Amino acid sequence: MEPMTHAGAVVSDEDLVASEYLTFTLGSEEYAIDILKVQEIRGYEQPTLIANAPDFIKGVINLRGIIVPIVDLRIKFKLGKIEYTPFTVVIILNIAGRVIGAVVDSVSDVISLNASQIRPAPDFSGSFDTKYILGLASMDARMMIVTDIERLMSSADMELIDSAVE
Amino acid sequence: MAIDMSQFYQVFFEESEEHLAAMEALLLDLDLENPDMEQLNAIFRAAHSIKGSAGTFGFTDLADATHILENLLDRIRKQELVLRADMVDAFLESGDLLRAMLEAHQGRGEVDSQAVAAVMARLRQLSSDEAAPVASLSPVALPVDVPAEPKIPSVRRVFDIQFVPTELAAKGDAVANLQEDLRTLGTLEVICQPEAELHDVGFWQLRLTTESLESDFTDRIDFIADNGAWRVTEDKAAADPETAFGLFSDSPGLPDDERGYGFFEPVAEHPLEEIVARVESADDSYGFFEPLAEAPVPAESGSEEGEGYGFFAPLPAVPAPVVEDGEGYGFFAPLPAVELVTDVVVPAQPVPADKESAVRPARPAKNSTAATDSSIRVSVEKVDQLINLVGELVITQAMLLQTVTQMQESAPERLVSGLGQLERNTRDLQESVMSIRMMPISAVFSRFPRVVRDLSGKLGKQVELKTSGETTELDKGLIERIADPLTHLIRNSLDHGIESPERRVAAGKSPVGTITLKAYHQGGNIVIEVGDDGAGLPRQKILAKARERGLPVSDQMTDGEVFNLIFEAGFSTAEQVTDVSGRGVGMDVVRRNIQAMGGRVEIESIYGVGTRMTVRLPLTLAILDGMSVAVGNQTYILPLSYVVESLQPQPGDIKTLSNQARVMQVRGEYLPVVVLHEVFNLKSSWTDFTQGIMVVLDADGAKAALFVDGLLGQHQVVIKSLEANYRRVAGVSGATIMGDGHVALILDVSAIAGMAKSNVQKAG
Repeated sequence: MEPMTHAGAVVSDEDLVASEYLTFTLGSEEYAIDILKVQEIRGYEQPTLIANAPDFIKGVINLRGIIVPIVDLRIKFKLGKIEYTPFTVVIILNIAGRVIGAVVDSVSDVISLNASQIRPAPDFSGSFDTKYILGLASMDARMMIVTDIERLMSSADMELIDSAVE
Repeated sequence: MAIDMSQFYQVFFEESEEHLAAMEALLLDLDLENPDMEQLNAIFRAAHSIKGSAGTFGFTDLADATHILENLLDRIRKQELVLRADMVDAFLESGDLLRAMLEAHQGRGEVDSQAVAAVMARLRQLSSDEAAPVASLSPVALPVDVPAEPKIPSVRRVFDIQFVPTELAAKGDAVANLQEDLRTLGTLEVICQPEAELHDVGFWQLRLTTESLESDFTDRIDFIADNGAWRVTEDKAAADPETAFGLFSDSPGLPDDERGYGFFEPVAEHPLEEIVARVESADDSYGFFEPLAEAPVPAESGSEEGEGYGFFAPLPAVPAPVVEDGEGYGFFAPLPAVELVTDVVVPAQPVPADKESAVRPARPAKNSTAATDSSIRVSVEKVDQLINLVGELVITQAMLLQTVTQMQESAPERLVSGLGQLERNTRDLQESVMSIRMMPISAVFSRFPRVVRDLSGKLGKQVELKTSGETTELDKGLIERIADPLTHLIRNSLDHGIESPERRVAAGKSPVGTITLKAYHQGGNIVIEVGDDGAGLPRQKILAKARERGLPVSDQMTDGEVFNLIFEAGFSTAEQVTDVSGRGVGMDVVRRNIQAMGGRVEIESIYGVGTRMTVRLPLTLAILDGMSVAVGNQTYILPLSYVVESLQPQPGDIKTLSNQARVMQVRGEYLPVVVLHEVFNLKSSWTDFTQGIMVVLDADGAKAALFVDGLLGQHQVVIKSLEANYRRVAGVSGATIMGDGHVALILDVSAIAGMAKSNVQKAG
């Protein structure tokens, strides 16, 4: 079922405990999410529209018998041009018992990060919402935005979950 | 190691409910004149099983209540008491009570402790009732079939009781209960009890000084001890000197011999050889072990097999308990047994001479498990998951087949035929997986004999219930939900349909009315009929009542339309309000519940001859008959049961109100129009109404016309939840997967009709 295996290294010191992250790109930005939230990765297919849903919710697809909503993170984060090509990727996430698909431009790789490698994001004092950002990590010349995907997807402004449920 | 029993509670609840249901069915089936021993035994076994597991799981109130019930049952079973109708009533009542207690333990409802006490008192009284005249001299009843020989009153006798409780009994309070019971009979001393780490499973020796007979308590020991792993001996030497009549077994009237407890008779009367011989004859395989058994402390060779069965050993000359799982321990059981004897219980051994014959190999394994384990319990979730996966398989298979068809000539012959075979296999697989959720309707029907019995008694009517088609299967979810509406229909038939015996005789009918309950399949539906040969529905009275209530009725209405009026809320034709019915609640709820299941109910009736109510239900809740409609490039499913008709509007059919809301004229009726692509913000292929299709919907009385681009077809669709991974969407009740693998949303017709109404109201 899960195409990626997770081999977490366990070291006693918390700073040295490395977790694995899946990195993906949205436009020119690179993001990293906890790989344990990822169920699988698949290509984009045209979803069934949901009436009166926000524009970043593309609709629902059939994932082996389960109805899965599809969110386009590029629209949600207002990133440049939105194209659906045969290479557009959907990351199927398993969050709080729910299955949700996230559309991204591409996935790059799986990296290992420990807590000391993740630095807090600078405060943009309200001009930019950082509450879903765990921090920034750098590797070689790349900067990755480490995202709290669970918090993001279950937040009210994603409109994925009934407010009564929260 | 303490085991968390709570994880098994659910199994216990389910099993107990099954036992209770079985008990009730058997009780109702009992012939009072000539009760069938087999049935009595089966009832007893059901009660006994509940008691046993209730004790194990620590539900002492249940165990205590069943204990009393079981005592009475046991006396009837042994023909010490004669079965009477009031006993059956009491049994049924206590069955209800047990069910209530079970539910209370599951956190549903409360148990009225007074009611419990009342029923228990009644059972106790019934249990002692008839015994009194027979055993006037003795405080406890003598068995009826034992000749009431002159008995010396207040003879104090001393019994040595030895037993090994079953593991189940030992874990519960059964041993403690037994001790309490025995204390009520006289003075009880505990001479030997198992060590604590054995969890009370082990050898017990009690000494009871009592005026009662042995037979008064042997049964109780038998309940908790392993098969035959107990014995009672009378210690004559220790008997009260003032009433010492010498050897009691010599005095007439002692029931020892006739009761077949020969195994346990005092050693003096039966030479050792004889006992051994008896044991041998009881089990052929014994002889093989005899040499070992004769050596009281054999070599340690058996120790590695010593899985704790040793505690069965100390009972001399008593058949060893059955080793339940029969995994081949039989051969080895005697060895560890003897070994344990030496360090645990031998000091307490009262009759050392018996030790030689102390062991007997366990009985061979039970014949097979097939007889008992013909079903398994599986959680509904797992089954649903399986159904989903198979559904996916079917769709994948269809996709492959479609691809091959598109390849036409270039597809290899073998691939095509292989796919054809795959299709047949997947269909078979799907069918058998779907059938897992199906249950015979007898699960519901079985409760009605009781309903009819209770109610006809209360109403003073004579009613016979006939059922047919109990094996008809329907979805488990439906079974649970159909029970209440059906109960109501049956009560209705009993109360309003069937007349009193006098009136029936006056009308030239048999005094005994008949209610027929029938279930069968018809197409994709299951049909359940509740019929009675009673008075039938009074058309004129219903019409009059409807006029009184201001309902729009006319004399020209068909019978069916008139009879359907009784489903209106608050409508009742009962002349009197009884506690059974007539308050005008009920039939409307019945109809609503049946409709909520996607079914419908019809009434046929001939005045003076009878009434028949027919309930039609879909086979399963998970599947819906739907009509697929197209709007732009999207497909939606409309539940077929709400669709009245579809038509293509003519120019001028559609009018506007205040230039906002639209109505359409359909045969003189103005229906609010809902334009689906406007409601859902979609692009429609049509801008002109005359090019699309209007679907007339009837949602619980509210009619509306839904404008769609076109009709696609009719399907049976599998309903999937949209809310599992997403939130609720207005106007959508669920989703389904179409044959091509795409998702289609199922429209919530009631909500859409509601949108139409609010549009018109806004405009008005």
